[in-house]
Amino acid sequence: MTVKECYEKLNGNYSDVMERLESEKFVSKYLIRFIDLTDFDDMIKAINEKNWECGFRASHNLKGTCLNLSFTELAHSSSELCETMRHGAPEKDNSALVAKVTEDYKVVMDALKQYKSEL
Amino acid sequence: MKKFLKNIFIQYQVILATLLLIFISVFCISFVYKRMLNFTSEQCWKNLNESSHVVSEHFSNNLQYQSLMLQDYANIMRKNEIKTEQQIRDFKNNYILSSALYDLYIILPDSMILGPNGTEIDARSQKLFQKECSLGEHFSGIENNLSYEENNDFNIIRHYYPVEVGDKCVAILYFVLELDFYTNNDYLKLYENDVDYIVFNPKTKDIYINTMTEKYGSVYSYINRLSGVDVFNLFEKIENRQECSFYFTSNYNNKKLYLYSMPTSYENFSLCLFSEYNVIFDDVLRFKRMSIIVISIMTICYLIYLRFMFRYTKDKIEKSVLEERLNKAENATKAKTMFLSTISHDIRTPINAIVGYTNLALLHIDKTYEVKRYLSKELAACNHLLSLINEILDMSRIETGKIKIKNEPANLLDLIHEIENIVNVQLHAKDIQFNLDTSEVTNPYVQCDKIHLNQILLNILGNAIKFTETGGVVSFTVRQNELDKFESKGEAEYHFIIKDNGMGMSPEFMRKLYEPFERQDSAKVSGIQGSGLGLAITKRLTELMGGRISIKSIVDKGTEVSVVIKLKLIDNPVSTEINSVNTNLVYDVPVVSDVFASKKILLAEDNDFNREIASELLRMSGFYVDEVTNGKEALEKIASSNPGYYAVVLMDIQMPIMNGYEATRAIRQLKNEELANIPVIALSANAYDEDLKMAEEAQMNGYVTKPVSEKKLFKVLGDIINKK
Repeated sequence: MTVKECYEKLNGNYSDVMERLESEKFVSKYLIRFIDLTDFDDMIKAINEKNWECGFRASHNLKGTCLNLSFTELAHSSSELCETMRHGAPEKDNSALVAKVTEDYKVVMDALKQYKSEL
Repeated sequence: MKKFLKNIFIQYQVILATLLLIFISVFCISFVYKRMLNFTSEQCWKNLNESSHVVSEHFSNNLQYQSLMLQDYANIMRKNEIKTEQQIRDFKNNYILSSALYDLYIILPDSMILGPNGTEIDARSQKLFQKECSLGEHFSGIENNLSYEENNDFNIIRHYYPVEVGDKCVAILYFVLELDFYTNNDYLKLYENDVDYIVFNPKTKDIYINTMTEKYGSVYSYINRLSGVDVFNLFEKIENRQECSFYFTSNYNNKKLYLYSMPTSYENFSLCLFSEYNVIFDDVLRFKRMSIIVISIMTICYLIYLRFMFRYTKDKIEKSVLEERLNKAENATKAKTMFLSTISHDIRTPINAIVGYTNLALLHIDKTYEVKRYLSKELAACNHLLSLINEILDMSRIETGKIKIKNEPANLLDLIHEIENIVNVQLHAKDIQFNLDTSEVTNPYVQCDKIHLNQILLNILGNAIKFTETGGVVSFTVRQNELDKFESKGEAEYHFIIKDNGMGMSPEFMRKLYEPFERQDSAKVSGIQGSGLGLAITKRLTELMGGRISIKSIVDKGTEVSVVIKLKLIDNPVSTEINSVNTNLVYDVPVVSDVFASKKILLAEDNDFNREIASELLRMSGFYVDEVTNGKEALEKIASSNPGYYAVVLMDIQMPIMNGYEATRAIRQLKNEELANIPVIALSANAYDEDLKMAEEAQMNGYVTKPVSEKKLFKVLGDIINKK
């Protein structure tokens, strides 16, 4: 699997990331690194515990990382979820957003794991 | 080796002590010998002098006694008016005791001599009475072989005393003094009668010598035959009654002869004792003989002792040499055995893995995924084996002195970041927090052996990561202590301190830390690969570079390794260094501009992942990057840095504890003007006008939107640095 194919599979923006970071090798290294990040797990755990401050920080980190790697879909959904927790407890139920982020995150992780296994 | 040298030292000490003892003995013996010889010689002279005195006194006493006796007899004759021949005969027969010490002889006016026991001697033909009566009390010359005394075989002196009754000499009384008497005298027993004596009568010029009586003239020839004696001087001294001594050598037998002259206290005679050197100085000769015997015995004893000592020493040294060789051989064998057992075990492990995974790969040759997995593990084992062999070769090269330390221009910060790049993979794999602090390096341009310094630091850092559990912390601090310019000649002391919070080491293991093949015997270590050569190599390399290494460690708390090396400073930046860094990069990212080379940047970003990406992009372009995770840390870092150390700060806006705006405002309030005016570039996901305005209000100097675009980032950085 190429980096480009990986980006297509994880609903990311290959051309954007290549324009900004320029090297496929460089991007590839950080794609692999992404697999080990715990921001998503931390975020889910904090939301389940209704620890909105930690939930915000974890989702903010996830959003920032996804933006940097141009994981467009996941960046978008995590950004929305992040904003719901910016000022503490969300004003309205955000479980749908959590589900969307979880779904997007799974797509990204599946694509990345496959990419890694085929390296 | 030590024992061998000690043995030789002890043996030579013993030999030295022996020689010293011999020297002292020889010195003492010669000193005592000289003193004793002088003493004995003096004693001999004293004996000779005393003997001469005694004999002389005895001779004088006899003469004096005779004189008194003669006076007594004369007084009796005068008192009793004994004049006639008959009266004299009656006096002789009635008064003179036959038991007296000396026989009295009376010369009658007709020269008939009345001797002892009624004997009469006819000396009328010599007209003896007429010859001697007018001379008063006097002595005859030394005579012998005369016919008118009974004991005429002896050499004698006659002691005459003419008796005048009224005005007329009526008779001459005389005693005879036998000179040969002294030949067997007890006084000379000291010399066992091997000594002769000479009696001089200076008045009559007679001399008695060796039982013969001669006139001076006739003994000249005798004395003259003795070389080395001034005869006239001798006789002059004797006539002048001087106590004197002479020695000379006999022309007959080459013997040394000694003569001691002593004037008599009564009348003008002189008495000389006279003998050979070996008689007079018999004690001296005896002492010399004894000394020779004693010295010979001592010399033999010393020679035997020395022979024994040298033999003993030689044996000891030979034994030490053999023991040393045996020890060396045993140690070499032990080392070889230890090396083989250790190394064979260490080599066998990865080889077993290689063989095992190769077999597995062959079994699953049609399954790409499985084969890839096995080959990757096999590759890891190969790499381990290769590093092990490399370390053994390194150790061997160090031990045989084949490693030479080069001094070439280098940029320490480049070298350190290069090391950081190498260990990054390991750090991430174990999720270890890595804190690199090079803020106290004011001059990174030095002369050093880059390859070996790299090897030292990589080894220590590798160990820190290897023995720190997942999620731990490893910090690497580099400090520069500039030495006194005069002392250091443009050198600085660099401290490389690598600290971890890993498993640490036990005090027992710390004692043999630098021994080759030593590994901590711990359950935790059992799963960690290593040869036990790393620290041994590191220590030796550090020492080869003139540095020192120190290690502090506490079990389960962590380890701190400190390497201190003195390096020569160079003034000019090494531009080639930057290129060398870039050529070593894994990624094909071109250098944006030379303007970033060796510039230090402080990156403040709370998102670890994004910070890592930004940091790597910055390093690839030549920056030295220090990282912090919030605004407060950034403020502290800037406040504690030397002015001009950081060229620029890249500041994220959204950060916990203190955000980017607050941190920048606080930096602008710093007392140091240069620090307060450091360029700060905002890094934010928001790019609205109000955000830009807020950044401007916080006196930030630039703005980069996230996600970071390499081109945009370096354009802003380039503008700021060029402007500066």
